[in-house]
Amino acid sequence: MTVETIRTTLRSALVLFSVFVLQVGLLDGLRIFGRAPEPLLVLAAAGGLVGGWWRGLRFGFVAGLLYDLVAGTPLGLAAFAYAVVAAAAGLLAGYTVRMWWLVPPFVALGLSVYVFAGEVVGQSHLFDDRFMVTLGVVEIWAAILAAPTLRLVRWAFNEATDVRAGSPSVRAGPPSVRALDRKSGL
Amino acid sequence: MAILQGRSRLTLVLLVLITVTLVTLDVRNVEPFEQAKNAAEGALGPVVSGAQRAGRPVVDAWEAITDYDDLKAENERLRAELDVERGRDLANASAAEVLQDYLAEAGIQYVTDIPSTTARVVRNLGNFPDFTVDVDKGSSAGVRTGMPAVTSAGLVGRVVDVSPGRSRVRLISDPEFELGVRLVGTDAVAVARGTGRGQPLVVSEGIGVSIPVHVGMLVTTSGIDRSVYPPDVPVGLVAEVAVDPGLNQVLFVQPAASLDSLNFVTILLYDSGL
Repeated sequence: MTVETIRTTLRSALVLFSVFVLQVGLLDGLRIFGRAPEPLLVLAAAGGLVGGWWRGLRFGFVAGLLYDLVAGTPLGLAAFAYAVVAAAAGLLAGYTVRMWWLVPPFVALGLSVYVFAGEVVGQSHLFDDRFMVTLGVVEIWAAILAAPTLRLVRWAFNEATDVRAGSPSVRAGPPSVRALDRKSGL
Repeated sequence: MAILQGRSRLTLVLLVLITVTLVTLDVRNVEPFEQAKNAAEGALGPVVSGAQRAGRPVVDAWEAITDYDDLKAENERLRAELDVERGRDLANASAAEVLQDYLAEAGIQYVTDIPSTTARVVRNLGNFPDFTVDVDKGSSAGVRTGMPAVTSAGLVGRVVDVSPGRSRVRLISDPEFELGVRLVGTDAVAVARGTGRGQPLVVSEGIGVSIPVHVGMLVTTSGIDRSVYPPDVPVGLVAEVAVDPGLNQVLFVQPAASLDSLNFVTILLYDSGL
């Protein structure tokens, strides 16, 4: 394990924990029409866009697990949805530019996967007649949170390239990630 | 799909397997897994409580701004209701007092001799609240799985998960929630089921047409053998009566406790012996 790996792991853990605290302590209370932002889901999508599918998948999985532990739904449900959306974002990131406005669509995908997976495992209360309201509010917040979250994730992943939120990007990241992505056909 | 080859396919399969395993273990309440989960939740509990306490002023300010119209409308509605109430025979008597009178008349001693602990309901997190609420008392306060949770009005639910400083209470409105009930004034004992948030409980079996039932009758816990609830805890009042094709009466019971606005609940430290 290199110093670089240890540093990015510690930074990632710090970012995950900080966003978790921010969500449960503050953002979850800032509700519009009774619906709250989902910053951990935004973080998962940003993790995929910045770190690629493999790193995003792990990042999203941990973010989802944190959410599962406080949301009351079966453990693993959000972990699955967040990991899928992060991996999907990571796959797309290999082919396109990385911009802040890519985050909200992936957040919408993550929320939908979460609800659909919940229906599959018997959590029928997740989908109700106010789902579109939930989606709308979560999307608005995702648009607001996307740019700072991308910045935060780039810091966590120790991205060396000068890529600002809202500007086009090339794939970057530590050599190990790029090598792994090459191996997996990206 | 060219982009999903070799290792990536394997990873996705592993992800699905891991999450399916986690969900299955959680839903089936497998003991070692539950212990590990409770330990993790217990570790995060103080973090969540501390963060919520720290963020409270900002959240309160936000709610004051965004909910101002709702609060104003609610206030006007309550004033109108108060005026109506004043004109009735039940003037000056709150719903809880009416219920207490009813209980006294029926000779019911409502949980006066059962030790209890009062807990604050912790704010529900996320956009998809289920039929549970978390409270800030746990095993360190003597709370154990299965114990009933009540308010001064009546039964709220049952403790389903406990960690040292926190418990999770499943509400009686949960469609999977069942409990034995008694129709006060009759010998009838039946099973009531939840039907969802804001909906009445339904008693669909065990009340034959020969049993006299009318709207407003009190329904309490049955207290029969092997019940996890102490006897005579108010559950609700009969709001509607129908008859099914099998000549059973179907009762729709309005819960006595207001389940949508819980701030505090009392956990009865009641050991059913099961």
